[in-house]
Formats: sequence, structure tokens, C-alpha cells
Amino acid sequence: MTASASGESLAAAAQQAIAAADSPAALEALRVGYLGKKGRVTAQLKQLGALPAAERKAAGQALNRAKTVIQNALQARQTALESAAVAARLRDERIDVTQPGRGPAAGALHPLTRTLRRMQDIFESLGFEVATGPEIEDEYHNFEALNIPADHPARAMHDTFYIGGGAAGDGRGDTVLRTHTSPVQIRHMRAHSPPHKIIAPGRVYRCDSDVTHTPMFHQMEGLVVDRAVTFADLKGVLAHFVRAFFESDLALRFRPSYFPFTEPSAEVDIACVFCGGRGCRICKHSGWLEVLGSGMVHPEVLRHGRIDPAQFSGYAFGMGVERLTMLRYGVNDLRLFFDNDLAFLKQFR
Amino acid sequence: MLISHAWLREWVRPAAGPAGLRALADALTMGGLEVAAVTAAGPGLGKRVVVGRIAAIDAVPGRPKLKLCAVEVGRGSSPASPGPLSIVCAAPNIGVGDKVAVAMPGAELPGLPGLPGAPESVTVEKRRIAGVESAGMICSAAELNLEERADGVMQLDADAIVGRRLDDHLDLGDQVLELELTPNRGDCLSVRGVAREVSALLGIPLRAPPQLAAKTTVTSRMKLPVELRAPPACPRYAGRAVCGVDLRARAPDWLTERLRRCGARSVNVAVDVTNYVMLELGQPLHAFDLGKLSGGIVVRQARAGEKLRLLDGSRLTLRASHLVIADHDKAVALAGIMGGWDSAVSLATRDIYFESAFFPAAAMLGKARQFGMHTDASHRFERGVDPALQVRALERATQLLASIAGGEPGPITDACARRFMPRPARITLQRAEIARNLGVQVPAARAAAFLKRLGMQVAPAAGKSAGKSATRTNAKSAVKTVAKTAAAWRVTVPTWRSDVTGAHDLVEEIARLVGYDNIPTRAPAATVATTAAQPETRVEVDALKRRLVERGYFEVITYSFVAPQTQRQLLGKRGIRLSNPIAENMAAMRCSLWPGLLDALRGNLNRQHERVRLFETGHVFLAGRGRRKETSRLAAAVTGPAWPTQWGAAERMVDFFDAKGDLQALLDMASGGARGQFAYRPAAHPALHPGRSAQVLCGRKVIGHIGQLHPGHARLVDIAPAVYLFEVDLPALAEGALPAFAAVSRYPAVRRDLAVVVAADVGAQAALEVARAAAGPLLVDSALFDIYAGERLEKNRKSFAFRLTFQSESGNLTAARVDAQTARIVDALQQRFGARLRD
Repeated sequence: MTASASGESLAAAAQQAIAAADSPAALEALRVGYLGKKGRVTAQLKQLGALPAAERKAAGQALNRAKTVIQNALQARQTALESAAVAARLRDERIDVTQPGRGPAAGALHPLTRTLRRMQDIFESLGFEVATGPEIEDEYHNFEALNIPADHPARAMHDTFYIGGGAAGDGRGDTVLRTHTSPVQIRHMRAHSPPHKIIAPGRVYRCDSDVTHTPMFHQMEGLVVDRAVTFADLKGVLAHFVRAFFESDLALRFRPSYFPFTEPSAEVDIACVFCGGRGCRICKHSGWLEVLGSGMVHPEVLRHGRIDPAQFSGYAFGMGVERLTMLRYGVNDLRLFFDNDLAFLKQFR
Repeated sequence: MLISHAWLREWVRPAAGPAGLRALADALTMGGLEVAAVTAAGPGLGKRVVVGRIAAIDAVPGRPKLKLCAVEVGRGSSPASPGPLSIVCAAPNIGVGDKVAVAMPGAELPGLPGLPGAPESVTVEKRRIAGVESAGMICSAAELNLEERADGVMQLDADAIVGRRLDDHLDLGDQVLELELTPNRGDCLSVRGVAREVSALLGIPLRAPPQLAAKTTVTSRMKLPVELRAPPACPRYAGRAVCGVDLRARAPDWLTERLRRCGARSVNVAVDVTNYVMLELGQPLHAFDLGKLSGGIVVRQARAGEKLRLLDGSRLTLRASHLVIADHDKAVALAGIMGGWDSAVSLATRDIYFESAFFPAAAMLGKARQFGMHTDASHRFERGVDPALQVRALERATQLLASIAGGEPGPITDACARRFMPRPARITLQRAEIARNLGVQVPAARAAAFLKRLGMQVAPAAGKSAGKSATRTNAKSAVKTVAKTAAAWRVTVPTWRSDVTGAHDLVEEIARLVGYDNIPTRAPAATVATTAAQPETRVEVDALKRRLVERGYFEVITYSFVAPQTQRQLLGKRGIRLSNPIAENMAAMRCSLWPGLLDALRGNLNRQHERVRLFETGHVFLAGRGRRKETSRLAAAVTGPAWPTQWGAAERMVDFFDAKGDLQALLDMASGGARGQFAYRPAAHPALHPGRSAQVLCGRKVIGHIGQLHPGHARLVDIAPAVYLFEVDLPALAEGALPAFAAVSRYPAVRRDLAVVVAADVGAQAALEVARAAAGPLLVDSALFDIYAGERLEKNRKSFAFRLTFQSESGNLTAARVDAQTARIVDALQQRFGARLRD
């Protein structure tokens, strides 16, 4: 057998063995077996010197070719084994990505808070500031200062809760749970000098409980007092609010009404958000929904707020937060707001 | 208030027809008299329900209660059977010759309303009753859906035309307007008042029906002396006797039908007439049985303890503040509210005495309510009755009564204390006020015309020079022109508008007639930050709420009033009590948000929610020494599994430290500010498990509590699983810290774990504080990562394992330096707590 033939057969045998190697360890054993210090290629290279000079060169070239072939085969096989291993690992590590994610699920704000926040944002963007007042009020702030004297028919309509055991802190008449957020107007006017531009959100109370009344509910009051404030401004601000709140260019109408603390007074109706004004059960087929009360601040109320009605004028409005929330989200039962059923609350996540 | 459209049209004639009615309703609503509904006066009975005449009545053999009536129905029920109908009827109130409402076979009658499952309509057919054929029905008002209930069949006028449709006879095609009047518009509580308003709103003439002009001829001399002993409360009392009336006479159908449409039931002729006049003109009237009055009329304050039995049977014991109508012996009526029982008219009454008085609203306010009463009369007097109406109403009532029940009217006594009568308001209106208020210029002529339509007189205000010379030449036209040019007007308000007292009222009236929709809408000016920006350190309540929401909490809103019993047992406080609670379990103002939260929590457990995490913010109401305090709080209640149900996580029940972690997440948003750091201190609380409760401190001030609901209370509130609660004062969390930069070290940190053994009662918070204080600034982080107590330690001892991280800003830390720091910490813990290093 010639030297070159021997080199070729060596390479062929090695290639066969390498292709069959199925682990890095087997591959390493083959590398050592062929190319190691005592490997077969190395051994033959060492014997080159014993060959006749004429054969030596060709035999050396053949062996070196074989060495290269084996090295390449080893390299290729190693790469193949490695990528097979990675592929196997990736295969093993496969997960069901449709399993649900872990962790704490978020809760939710109460829908009324959500509405209050939205109302507040709209008015704050118009430059209104938030004012607050106590929920246990005296009759002066809740009624008298708002031009509702004792025995006035409007007072009977308020179904007031009374607190037993004498007068409030500042001793101004009986103590009541505020029946509206309007007393905040008086408190604010007396504590600050005009101009005023406030909203007053909060809880109010009336001694009434049935399908459409809860003894506690929420209102947002608004008050603007400045020189040269007119009914046209009132219309502008409320139209802006209603359209921003419902995100719709709703038709609205201002209708004369009566509140002792405003004059002229107006109820504001919006085109029914359920039927678009065509008439349905919810708007009692009128096409309109009453959403808020408003008017120009009565001069008597300004005087109670230590403001000169000859110098200043103002407008005020009050809206029911529950009503707006029901209209906005289609809630059909007022009492759901105070049942606090998680099944209901979860709908506002 | 209910108003018949047909009745209204006697007074004012806007466009007719359905479109006209819609326009009228719209004009009223947009004029401030809200029309809540327009309903048909009748159900639409059709051509098969007609006026019949009972021609004969026979017995039904063997059935004593039934009668077989021969009923004439004019041209007959059909061309095939032109004769009278045979109808079997059980009503007791029928006699030969009576005119009745007859439903002939084929008639569609409305079903009984409100009866579940009842058909919408019933077809009347021939059928056999007790073996006798009955060809139709003699109807009661209830069967025709005209009244809710009825005794016997409906009787009709003796001159009703037989065979005429009942729809036509009673004008049931009429419509009824339901007005929701505001309390200032007492002047609109009558057909005339609404008509006056329609006339003003639409600018069309008001016409009094001709029958009102009819004069009564006085044919009797009977009169009673009238004495006004309380003229401020009753400055006018007009009265008249009508003798020899026959109250058994029937009021005509048109009158009782109008009463029915306006919501009043027919009682007897005298009462029907007073109600009719009240509805027509707005003046409440009363009819006494003259025979039961002794001597004369005295309007006076009641004597303390005086007794009075009213028409509705109620017996009152009066006080001196109550105004009564009395005769010379006793009180006979509660003035302006209700007449007395003993002097009431009955069918046997022969002579009656009509009262038509004026009680000012100021004297009437709240009076009926003191007795829990509210009558048509009190409703009107409290809202203001026209002080010029009394005699006119008396005339109208006399005329109506005489036409129905005969009788001889006596002269009218009109006792009037002029000094106490309201004078027409005269208001000075600066014309500039109109534009200043409304934001739109209303031309002077237009504004003046509006006021005049409302019955006001407009003249230039006195004191200005304008118009002086003009008045001399041609007063009338001069006033007209000057009114247009004068800067101020003198406006005289008509007697019926007692609600108009000031210039702002006049501006409102002008605005109403201009139409609110015709006042321009001025868009809000774009505001460029007119308000100062909030300080960055302010912690908004909304931000705190959102953090809890992210941690799985749901916000609830519970009533501010709770059960006093629960509050006392849970909190050891009574709370501020309501005088008139809705129910006993809503009688005390809450001193804490916990009772409400526990209520909501229980509700959800009962609805099979297992994992419940709730919070609320709101006011609590504290009864302090002599002064009530109202403050805002945030509170939470949690129970059930710590995590929502999910795969791969072992289920574990929530515990104290989960709740504390949530509370801490809130405290981390705030900073104690000048008051100091937030901390927890073991402390008992009546609501909480004594071994699992802590005060939340800000510096030295207690700002809240956290703990497990006391197992004893768990039974009280009917909640079985462990519940953890916390509550903090919101003002204490209102301020956060402004982030302050500190250099970030470029050198590596060195970590050491340190385990020390301490007595079992040493608190983790105190140990950490001591460790931090001993270490100094190189200690950049420290955490408690293990707590152990058990068999590998002696009894009453536990170990804390701290992970300490040291780092310097200026260089690498040597092992020796870190060891020295650690040793100082161990020393400090040893000195303070007797701690030793754990082996």
C-alpha cells in the first residue's frame, strides 16, 4: 500500500467514525485517537523519516491532507453536535405561553370617584379650584345664607337630617347634615375675597330612601363670582362641561326653574343619551334628560358672602354625580352604587 | 298640578290640535312651568259605549240581587235590533229613568290597570247571566278606567242625550297637562293662573269665560258678623250665606269631569263647587253648614289646649300660635288648612256659609306641616294667593251653586284690615341690570312689553328729570316713550305675583320671556394657568387611592351613618346621633370607616366572593369635648387568599404583614414632614386582636391603626374568616418629600449577613433602628431577611438575620473596615437588647 493510499484510507475511516460520534466526549476520543500525540496520524507522520526520500514527500503531503480533512470533520461534527444540543435544550424548555400571567390583579376605583375625577379634570382645565366644607352643617350655611328661610316650601323639599343635642360649633341654628353642596359657596365667599371660581364636590344627605333616592348621594357645586359675569357665561361653561363630559356634541337646553339661591335660575337638559333625543322610556319620551340646576347667584346670597352685588355678579350650578355616572355608563339602579358588590365594582376596572 | 286642556282653552286660545298642544306644552316647559306629562282624559271608549236610559227594571227569577234592565240606547245597538237592550245588572244605585253609561256588545273596554296578567282590553259580548240573556253592560266609572274605584254604576246628567257616545258626552278626547310647578309660582295653581302665563309667554290675549261675568242677585238678608282678631295672619275674610239649597242635587257631568281630570273627587255639590272655583281661580274656599255656626265668624288665634276635630276625622289640640276660624262659641276650622267636622255640610244641609279668605304666605308657612298635613288649600296659601281675588271667587261659587242647587244668596261680608293687606310691590329696575345679568342687550321697548304682558305697569323711575314736562302734555304716550328712554323704570307688580320682590326678579321675568335659548352662549375664555401650580410634594388622595387599586383593592362608598350598636361595640364610641334617622341601623354618624367597610366586606362574603380587599376614603365625625370634629380618613379591610387564584403559587391566606405592606406602600408616598418619621407601635384597640394590633405613628402623633379584627367582634359583624384592617388620617399623608440627590458611589458594595439572638419580645423595628444608628453612613442598606424561633434556640429567644450592605463614596472598603462596622452594630444590639451573635 502506498503512503498516499494509506493517508486517504485513514481519513476515510476517521470521517466515518466522526460522523458516527454522538457526543462531545466521543468526538474528543476520536480527536485524540487520530490527531493526539499518540494518534494514528501523528504516528504515521513520525514514521515518515523511515521512508525512502522519493516517497517521503508524497506521503507527507497525503498525511497532511488527511489531517486537515479529519480536523475539518471534527470541527463540523462539533458544530453540528452543539447546535443539536441547543435545539434540544430549546425544545425541552418550551412553555405554554397561553398560561395566564401571575401576580396581583388590580382593583378599581368606585365609579362615582371615576366620574368625580373626570368632572374635576374638566373644570380644572377651565381654571376652577376645588373647595371643600363640612358635611355636618349649621342651618345658617345650609339654608338661611342661601335665601331659604325657615318654613320656606323649598326647605320642606330638602328632607333634612337633623343632628340631636344642640347647635353646631359656631352656634348658628340647628345642626343638620348638609342637604346640598351649596353651603360651600357661602363658606368660600366668607373666607376669601372675590373673584371666585370654585367647584365643591362631596357627599350630601336627604332623609329619603326608595328606588330612585338614597339617603346619601354626591353633588358637585360650582361658583363663579367676578365683575361682569353673566348668564351667557353660565351657559357657555355648562355647555362646554356637558359636551366634554359626554364626549359628544349633545344638544342641550336651559329651562327656567326656581332655586331660592339663584335668580334667574335654570335647569339644564341634555338630549337623551340613550335615544339621541327621539324619545324613549328613560327620558319618559320627552327626548330630554335633566342633568343639573344652575343660575345667577341671588343678590341676597352674595350679601351673605360679604360681596357687594352692585360690584360683582356670579353664577352657580350644582349637579348630581350619581345621575351623571348612570347616564355615562348606563347604570340602571342608583342603589348599586352603595351596595358595593364586587361583581359591580369590577366592571369599572 | 293637573290642568284640563279644554278648560284652559276657555281662557286662552293658542293654536289647537295635536301640534298646537305640543307647542303649548313646550312653551310652558321652556317658560318655567315644566309639563311633566300630557295624558288623554279618557281611554278612548269608542262608538259602542253610549249614554243609555233605563226604561224599565224587572226582577231576575231566583236571583234577588240581580235586575233585568231595559235600556234605551237611541237608534239601538244595531240596525237589526232597534229596540232597547236587555241588560242584567247587579248595581244597587239604578232606577227607572236614570241615564247611565252603557257598553253595548262589541264595545272594547280597557282592562283593569295594575292587575298583573290582566288583558289590555275586554270585549263586551252578549252572554247569559242566571239564565237570562244580557246584551251589554251598565258601567261604573272604574270599569271605564275613569276612576280607580267606584261605588255602583256611573250616573249621568238627566238631560244627557240617549245614544250619544260617552266620549262626546264627557268630552273624553280632552288632554290633561301635568305641570310640575316650582314653589315660587303659587299664582299658577289654577286654570286662570296658567292661562295668564300662557297669554304672557305666547303674547296672546287672555279672555275671561263669559259665565264668570254673571252677577248674583242677592235675595236673602242672611249675613254673619265677621271679626278679624288676628289681622296680620288674616287681613281679609269674605263670607256669604246661601240659604235654602238642595245639596241632594247632582253636580253636572261637565263639572265633576273637570274635577276628576284635575285630580279631585266629587263629594257633594257644595264641596264640588268650592273645589271647582279653587281650581279655576286659585282661591281656596270653604263651605260651612250655616245651621251649625253660632253667632258669627271670628278669625283668631287658638286658645292653648283648644280642641278641634277636622273634616278628615283627626282631632287636634291647638296652641296659641295656631290660627282658627271660630264662631262665637268654638273653633270651626283650622284657618287656611281644613274645615271642622262639626260644621261640615252634609246632604241634609239647607243653609250654607261660604268662606273666601286671604291668609298671607308668611303666616301660613309650615303650619300644616306641624300637624303632618298638606291640603290643596294649605299648598296654595303657603305659595301665595292673590289678595284681590276673594270677593270674585265668592261670586263665582255662589253663581255655580245657585245654578245647581238653588238657594237664596245673602249679601257678601268683606271684612278687610287694609293696614295688613300686602301692597303691590313697586320695584326700581336699572335698565343696565338686564344686560349686566344676562349678557345680552334686550331693547327697552321689548323688555317693557314683556313686563306688561305679565301684568306689570312700567313707568320711568321718579327722581330723574326725564319726562317731567312730557307728562303734562300727553301723559299716556309720554310714559310710553319715556319708559323706553329712561335709565331706570318703576315697575308695579300685579297682586298675584307675590314672588316678584326685587330687580333680579324682574330680570328673570324678562329672561323667561326672551327665552333662555335666545340668550347667547359665551364660550369659556381659554384660561392660561390662572391657578398656582400645586406643590410637587403634595400627595393627592387620588394617588394614594390608585396605589391601593394597583395592589388589588376595590374602592367602596358606604353610608356615613352606621348602626350605633355596632359602633359602640367595635369602637367603644357612641358617635353623633341623628334625630331623624332613616332606620336605627343608620342612626349614628361614623367615627371610623371600619363599620361601613366591614358591612361591605360581609356583603361580598355572603355573595360568595372569597378574596375581598376594600378601601374607602371619607369623613369621620368625632364628638369631642363641646366641639364636633370632622376629618378625612382612608381605611381598608382585607380577607381571604393573599393572591388571586392562579397556577403555580401555593394558596396562602392574607395576614397582618400583607396588610401592613399595603399600608406601608401608602406611607412610602408621603413623608412625615416636620412631625417625624412614620412608625408602628404595638397598642391595643377595641376593634382589634390585642396581640395583633398597632398604632401608626407620625413622629409622636398617632395617625392611625392597623391590626386583625378582634375574633370576638368577628361574631358581632358575622364574619368568619380573619379580617385585617387599617385606617389612617388623610391629612397626615398629604405631604411627600422632594427627592434629594445623593452621589452614586462608583465603588463596590460589601454585603454582610448578621444573625443575632434576642429576647422574644424585642421588636424588629427597634432592632433595625438600633443597628442603623450604630453603623453610621457606610451602611447604605439593611434588611431583615430571616426571623427564627424554635428548638434550635432556647425558650423565649428568637434570632434576627440582617443583610447589611456597606459602601463608601470615596474608595474601596477594606474587610477590616466592614468588620469594625459590623462589630459596632453587634455591640449596640448587645447593649440595648442583650443580643448575642448566633452561632
